[in-house]
Amino acid sequence: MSSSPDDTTPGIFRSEEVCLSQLFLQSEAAYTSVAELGELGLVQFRDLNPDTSSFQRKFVSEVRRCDEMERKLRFLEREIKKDQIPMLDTGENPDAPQPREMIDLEATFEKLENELREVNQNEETLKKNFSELTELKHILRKTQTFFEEIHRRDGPGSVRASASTSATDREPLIHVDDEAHAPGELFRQIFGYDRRTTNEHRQSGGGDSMQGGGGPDDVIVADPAAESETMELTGPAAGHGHAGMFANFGFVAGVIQRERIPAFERLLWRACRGNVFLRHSEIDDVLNDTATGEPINKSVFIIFFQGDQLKTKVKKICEGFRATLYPCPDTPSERREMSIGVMTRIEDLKTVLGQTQDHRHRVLVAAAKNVRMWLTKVRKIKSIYHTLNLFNIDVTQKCLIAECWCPVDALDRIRMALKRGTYNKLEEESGSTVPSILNRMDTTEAPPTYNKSNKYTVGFQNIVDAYGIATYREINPAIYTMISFPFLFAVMFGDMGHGTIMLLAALFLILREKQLEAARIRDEIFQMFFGGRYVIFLMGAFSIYTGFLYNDIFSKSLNIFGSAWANSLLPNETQPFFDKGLLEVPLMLVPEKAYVTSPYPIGVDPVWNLAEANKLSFLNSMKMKSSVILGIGQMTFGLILSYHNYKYFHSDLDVKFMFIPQMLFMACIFIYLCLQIIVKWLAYSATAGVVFGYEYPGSNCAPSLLIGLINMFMMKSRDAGFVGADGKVSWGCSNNLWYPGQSFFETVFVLIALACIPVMLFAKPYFMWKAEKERQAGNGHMQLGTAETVLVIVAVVQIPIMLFVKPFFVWRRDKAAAATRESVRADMNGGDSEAEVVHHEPKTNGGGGHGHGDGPLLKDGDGTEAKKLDMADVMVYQAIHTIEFALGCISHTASYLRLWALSLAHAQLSDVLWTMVFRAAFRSDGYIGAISTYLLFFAFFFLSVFILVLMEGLSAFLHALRLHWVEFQSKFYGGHGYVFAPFSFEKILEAEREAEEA
Amino acid sequence: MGKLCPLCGPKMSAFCMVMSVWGVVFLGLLGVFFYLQAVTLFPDLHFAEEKDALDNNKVESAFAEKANQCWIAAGMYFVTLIIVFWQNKFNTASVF
Repeated sequence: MSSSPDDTTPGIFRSEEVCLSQLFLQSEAAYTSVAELGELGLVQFRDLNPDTSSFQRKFVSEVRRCDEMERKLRFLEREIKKDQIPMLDTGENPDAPQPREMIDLEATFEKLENELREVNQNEETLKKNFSELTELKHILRKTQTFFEEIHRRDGPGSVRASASTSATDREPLIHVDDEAHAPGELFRQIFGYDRRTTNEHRQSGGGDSMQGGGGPDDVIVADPAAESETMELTGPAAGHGHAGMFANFGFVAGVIQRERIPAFERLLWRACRGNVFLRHSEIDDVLNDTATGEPINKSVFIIFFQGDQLKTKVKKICEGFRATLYPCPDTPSERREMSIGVMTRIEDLKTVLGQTQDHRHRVLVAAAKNVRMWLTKVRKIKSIYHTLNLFNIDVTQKCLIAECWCPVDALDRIRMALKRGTYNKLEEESGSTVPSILNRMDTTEAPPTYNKSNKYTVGFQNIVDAYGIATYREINPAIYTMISFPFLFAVMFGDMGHGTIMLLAALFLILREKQLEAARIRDEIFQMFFGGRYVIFLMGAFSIYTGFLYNDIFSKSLNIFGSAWANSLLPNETQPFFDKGLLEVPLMLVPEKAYVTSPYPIGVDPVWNLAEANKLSFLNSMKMKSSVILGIGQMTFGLILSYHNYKYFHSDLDVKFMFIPQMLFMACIFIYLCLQIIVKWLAYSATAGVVFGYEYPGSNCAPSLLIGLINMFMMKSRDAGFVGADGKVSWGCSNNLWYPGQSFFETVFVLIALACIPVMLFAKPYFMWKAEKERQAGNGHMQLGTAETVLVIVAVVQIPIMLFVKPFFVWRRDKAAAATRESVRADMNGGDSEAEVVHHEPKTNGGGGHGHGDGPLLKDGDGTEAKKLDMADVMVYQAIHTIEFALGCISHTASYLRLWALSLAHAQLSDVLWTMVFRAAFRSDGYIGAISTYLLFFAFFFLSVFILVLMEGLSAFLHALRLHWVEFQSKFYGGHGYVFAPFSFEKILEAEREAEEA
Repeated sequence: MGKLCPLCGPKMSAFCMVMSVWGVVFLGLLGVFFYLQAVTLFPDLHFAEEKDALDNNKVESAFAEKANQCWIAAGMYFVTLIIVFWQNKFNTASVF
């Protein structure tokens, strides 16, 4: 360990000290050791084979096996979820299993998966059979009804269908009493019947679901012209006997999706030119689609046709409409038999299906108990092998070599974990093994940044990290942010009422922490609030405090200590106006008379709330000035932090030529301004008197600070004091000088501030260049180098002498020019001793593990002496930095005025809400008043929460964020680091789980 | 047990519960402040447009009136709270 004095800095102010270590792990013990380290979660492994693709690594087969296992488990999980079996998730954390155990696990999963697959396959086949049989059952049943109806109609005393409208419409389907017209008659009868049944159905309002073709097509068919055509077409068939006709008539029966029926019907009609007869009927039960398992509505249809050509046509159309055709026997007895057969088969299938499902359920229930634990185990194994893949394998194959970053504090614990890992191994397998070795290494690489945080600080650490991860061992602003962030927020959000709402909301989140965490609500917005619950809590608490100072609660004030204002107009002064009958008279309330003895003890006097005309002028001035003071305070604090950073990194150059000029610049302009503000608050009041030796006539002469600041830069000459020599108050007295020696001090301040700029700009690059030059020359030849420099400069100086030797005598000015050049040389020589000191630093501290550079810029390369100094780079960096700082001081100070602006906006919005919304409730009296209060309170509070607390809160949050990131952190924060990401089971499992739930 | 008069679901009733709790507290306190004749609430008083000047009695009675008004409204919120609480308990129970 290096014994730098700064190592005693408590960890919370800077990131943890992290060192690079080498691990030698016995190849037998590597697995268990890594498992122990994973449980510990404090080691970040480095990839030692970055050139090797992931397929060429040593443990790729194991990783693949783990992937396979994970896939099987996910399959299991999916099946379990499908059956809605609750999964046991105790949240327990099983140890990473031994590599041996992996085989058992694999076998278990394999068995489970196969079993499940088989069961699923069987079930699928069974289900398919079942649905087919069900469809067949429906077909048989429906066709039965078709044919039965026909038989019923085939009774005695049948009348022509077309003529008959009687209710006892019993006609045969194939009426053959008139042979000559048989086929046409047949169709006519059918369709006639059909049409009538349709009518009947319409009359009886539906009843059975049997429906004819319905629609205009029917009418056309029933048309005599169509009839004759049909007769012609089917003419050749006429004259044959019953038998021949029956032989030619065929039918097919099948099932089709209900939505396809109309199109199916139309196509059949058109394609077969009306020579087929379609009957269909909806199946009442909802069937399941065999492939997808989705519920589907189907219809049974039966098509009668004549002839083989039509048959093929019909079959093709059926195919096209994805209708399933089922064999349907011709005779009723056969149909009955088949129906009985189908019913028994369905019953059998049901039993088998039930048994299969039972079996599947049993398997899944058994698996559900373990599946989460298995998943955890498999993920642990996988992550261990992933980590082992990062290691280097020793040539002897006896041990694995790992490189890792680990916090120095945790080295002992890591050693213990390694010992545990090896020891466990030893216990199980006899044989001499060497314990794992942990060896600290020196490196020039910047270690990762590891900021310890807990649930209270993590919100603030996230705010800082969102801007940039701190450079290694840089000051961690999170700790200061914890107070300054909620405070700046609260300055913009100052209202006791809104603060209380926010505090209560945060308190709810905090008190219900455990339950809410267990509920695992995935809503992003909720997660955001929940993650920042401690931030919100502090913001609420601080808002109550600033609200108390602003004396603002829902735009009203509390008069706790008694206002320091009293009406200066006595009743006997005002009474005359009343007596005259005047209701409104403008009167002056003289401030110095209205003030009683001592001020309001803390916060804004409540009487300001009632001062409608003056309220804003007072509050604006107060808030604006306090914003400037807070802002400059925070920026100065940032500068002081930068000093600690420079000191920590032993960067004298930065302290001397960055911190000091910056601080001087800040002090001469801005801290001076702050002091002026405070002095003005303290010294100048409404009463006249003598202030700083000048006679002060009254508040109209209180010094104007903004104009004073401008005059300071302009170095404008002003009168001293407020009262002229003639005893008169001078015009524009507020712009006059207000303390003795002001113009001298201000001139000095401006000059110092201006002088700081070139120092900031050039000093550091110059000394770096100087140091670099000497380093290149080498220490031994220092004298020679200096001599050479002197010679070169002398030679260079000769050139203007030669050039200007005549003009030199003629013009004196040229001599002066030569003189300046000489002074430059003297300056360079004078700087040697300084530069030498700087130069030594990297060498004395070289063993510390990282380079203590001259500043954030050169940190990366400065530890190695062979680094070339790129002068242009340095100069550009410095120029940008200087300009940014000098201009930034001004613009950032102005930027802090957002504290005032947002606070004003918040107070005004809240005032508007009260006067425009809630006040209306008090306009009416009695019960109407109570009801309007009831209703308007709802609106008022709803808007308060959503506009003032949520939206304004969000905007104040963002502005506070900006003030921290830009205005505060730009003063000292590098943010060039990278985060310490240790190998930790906890984190891996959490990440996997989140990915699963997303 | 089936749902009895389910006016609002669990979320709505939770929201209304928060609103009415705050209503009871806020309006109760506001009533107290009116009762104490807080000067900061003076601009909220409403007076009929009359030609004669205000006197103390008028102002005092206006304060008392508004205090009562606030307390009545607070009582209404208390009733709302009971109803909403019953709804919430009831509907939450029937969800599971």
